[in-house]
Amino acid sequence: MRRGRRPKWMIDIANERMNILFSMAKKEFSVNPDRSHRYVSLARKISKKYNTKIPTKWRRSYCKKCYKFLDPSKNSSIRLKQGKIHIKCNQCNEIMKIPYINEQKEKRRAKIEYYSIKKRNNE
Amino acid sequence: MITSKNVFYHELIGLYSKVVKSYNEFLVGINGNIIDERKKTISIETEKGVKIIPKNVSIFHLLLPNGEWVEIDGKILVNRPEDRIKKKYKKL
Repeated sequence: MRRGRRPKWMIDIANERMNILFSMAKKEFSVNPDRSHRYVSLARKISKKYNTKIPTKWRRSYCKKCYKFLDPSKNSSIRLKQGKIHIKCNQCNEIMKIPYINEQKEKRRAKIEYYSIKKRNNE
Repeated sequence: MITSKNVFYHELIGLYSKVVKSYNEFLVGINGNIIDERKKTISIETEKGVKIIPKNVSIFHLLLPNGEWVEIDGKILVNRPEDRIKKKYKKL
């Protein structure tokens, strides 16, 4: 088969399979964590083979360096520092940084809009 | 959704399964949830521990999430789990 883009029915099945694997990993983590690390690696293999992104719900739930499953407060910690979300993996001490400036801007815009509408109604 | 027409493309981990027929008669009757899959084997969690079963000499019964039972020949499944989506089958 040619490389590159795959037909749509393959991509749909790949997305469903990744969702199943990550939810299984979350379920198994408290009892046997090795199994859930294995499920993350299986999901990553599917995403590489079919050029699909890992679902946004699960993108922060594994380490970008050692590819292990992260469960907040059990083997990872989450802090807010300098306008960024710091997610720390406790196995390899890697810190993932994700900015949240877009959410802050949206909040500001909503606030200004709310006051301008109020002002218009008073006049 | 996992249906009877796309089980061999789909994820097997998490399904309840039963070994119906096998070349090795001691493997017949093993049942439980599938926990791992390799190129040539499937591992099933039972009450007495994890059992590893070869694919190419056995026939499985799978219970789908919508409550349907499906019989499947293990010879179709012999492949790496991520390569099973793009494999071409002669007869559906």
